[in-house]
Amino acid sequence: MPLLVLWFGYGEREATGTSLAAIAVIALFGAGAHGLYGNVDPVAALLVGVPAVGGVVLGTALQQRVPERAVAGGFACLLVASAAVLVL
Amino acid sequence: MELADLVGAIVIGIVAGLAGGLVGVGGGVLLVPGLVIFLDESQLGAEATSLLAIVGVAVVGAWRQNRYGNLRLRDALVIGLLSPLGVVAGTVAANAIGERVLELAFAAVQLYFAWRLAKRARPTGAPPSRRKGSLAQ
Repeated sequence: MPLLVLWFGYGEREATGTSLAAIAVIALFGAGAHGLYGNVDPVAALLVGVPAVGGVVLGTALQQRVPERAVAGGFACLLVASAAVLVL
Repeated sequence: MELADLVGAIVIGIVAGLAGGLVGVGGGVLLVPGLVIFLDESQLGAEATSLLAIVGVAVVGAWRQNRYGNLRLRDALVIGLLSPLGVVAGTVAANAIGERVLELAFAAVQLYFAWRLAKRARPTGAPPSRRKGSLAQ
């Protein structure tokens, strides 16, 4: 997505949709390649994937209504905490 | 699998989807640790599994964004169809390097996204059109 904004002169929101569609194709190839190695757990993918689909519908609907700065800050903290768990 | 882990996996799925819809960052960076922590996947297994989960999220997300006129499908397909070379290289590399290296590399990616989000959370990180009131800073 940063590539779309910087290189192709996309607007931030316009890049979001285009980037998601590209990710769908890339993730499909990636899952296929990893599937050949036997790394993919389809049940676990469904278990997190289905709730995530619900989350993204809700998130997209809320995007125009919630303060972006607070949300960005909150998720930044979550990522740092998660990275710490991973390293330790 | 314990009930608490099941609930945890579902919650992290919702949170990851919310993050994706709200700030465009989410999906894998949250699903992978969720799969490791709650569903006992290895780092490699979690990264591979999250890709499959992300397909559905990305398709639905792009479809919703399309309603706001935020999707250029042809550009997206061109980028996506150019990806297999990188995907194959990445998959081979991920299977070749150790779990610990994967963990550390993934943590670095998470911190990079956290840094980008933190910049947006600061007043000076706002787009220029919204920055007018904060020139004094």
